[in-house]
Amino acid sequence: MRGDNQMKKLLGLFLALSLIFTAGYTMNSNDYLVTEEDQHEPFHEEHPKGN
Amino acid sequence: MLSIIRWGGGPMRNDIGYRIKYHRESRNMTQSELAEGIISVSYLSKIENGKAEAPEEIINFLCEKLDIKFNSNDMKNLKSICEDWFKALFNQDLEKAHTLYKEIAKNKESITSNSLLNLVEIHILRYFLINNKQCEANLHYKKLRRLSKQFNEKESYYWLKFNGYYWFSLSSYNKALIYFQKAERYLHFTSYEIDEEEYSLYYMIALTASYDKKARIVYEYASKALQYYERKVKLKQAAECHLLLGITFVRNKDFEDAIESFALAQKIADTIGNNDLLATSLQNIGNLYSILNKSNEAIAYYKQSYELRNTTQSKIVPINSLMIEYYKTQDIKKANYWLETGQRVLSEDETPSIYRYELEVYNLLINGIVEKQLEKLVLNEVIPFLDNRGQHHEKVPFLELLANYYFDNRKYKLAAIYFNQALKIKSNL
Repeated sequence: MRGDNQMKKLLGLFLALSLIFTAGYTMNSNDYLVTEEDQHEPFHEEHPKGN
Repeated sequence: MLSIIRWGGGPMRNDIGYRIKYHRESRNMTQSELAEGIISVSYLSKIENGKAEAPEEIINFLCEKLDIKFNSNDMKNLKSICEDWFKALFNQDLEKAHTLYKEIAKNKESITSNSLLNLVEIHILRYFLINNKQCEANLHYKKLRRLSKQFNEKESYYWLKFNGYYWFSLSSYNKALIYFQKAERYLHFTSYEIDEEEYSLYYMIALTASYDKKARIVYEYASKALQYYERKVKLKQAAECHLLLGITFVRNKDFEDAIESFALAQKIADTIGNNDLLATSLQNIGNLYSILNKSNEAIAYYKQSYELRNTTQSKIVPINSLMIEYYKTQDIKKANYWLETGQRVLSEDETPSIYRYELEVYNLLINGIVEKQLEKLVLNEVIPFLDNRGQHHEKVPFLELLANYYFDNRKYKLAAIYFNQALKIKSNL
């Protein structure tokens, strides 16, 4: 009986870990990215000339 | 043989010693050779170092032996030519500056005032820079560095200011800013048009700080300069200050103030009919709309900016912006059109530039990437190019492009590395 409980616990842990890994892998790729707003660098600004 | 001496005395008198030393050394004569039969070596040494004033008769003999002439009237005339030349350089009147420079270069040896000669030498650096003679400027800069230890306060002001222009011309904005700010400490030693001098320096500090992404300095100095130029109704300069403030507002995501500043610059540029300034204003408004993800508006402004430009160098700015904006909206056909336009525009000029690298990177993105090409281009060429110029913040869009490319190809570890590098640079700004 005691062995059965341990087996159940191990199975539960295994299932939980599988779920975490599966969820991580199938998560929408954009969740990892920095936001769209952050990505925009004001790179094409243009300075006036020096004097 | 020339031996005309008409000595008027006055402040220039002590400088004759330095000139005697200059001419003696340039003729490879020793002090004893020159002094022989005229005065003692120790007396000559004192004259040369400005520690003793020799009677006119002795100066006559020394000049005669050196085969030089000195005429105080010529000197006064030359001094006024030099001052006109300094003003022409300040006002960037290239034609006048060139004519006067030829006159000064012809008579440089006759300048007896050590201070005037130093000022001429210092302004020669500025002359080379505004004429885009970078090689001559590099050589002259080395010469001035050797001379700089003996500069007085007024000479130091111009030396530090032109030092700023020198590093600015090499896109080393951090160094340029340091020198411009050092020059500020000597501002009150300038002798004429002090206000003009002061606010022109403030504008350069603001402009350089803007390139160096130092928002607080831009805001402080551009605001001071703007107030002065508005008071004096110097519209072009006021519009330039509005542009600098606008760029700073955009970076701080204060878009309302940014659009207001750009609109003012645009209005002034339109009123005074200055197309360069108008094109720059429209480019910045386009950039602002691009950041706000309003691509249609951004494209319309970039196109207007493009239409106003005449030179290759300036056309490439809106061309690249249009290419990137169309790529962003996934209009690949139009992105490719602007890519090809950019390649044509830059085909005659092989100099590496940020715009050239941008075209190369987008060429890969638009026309397909062969294995590792993007990685090689960005890591082996673009990043070292920007590192060499100290333009670390400009690396961000390239690092993010690379990171996104890896991410799309499921190389998450590499994507994370480059996103992280980009973020580190951003957090340092």
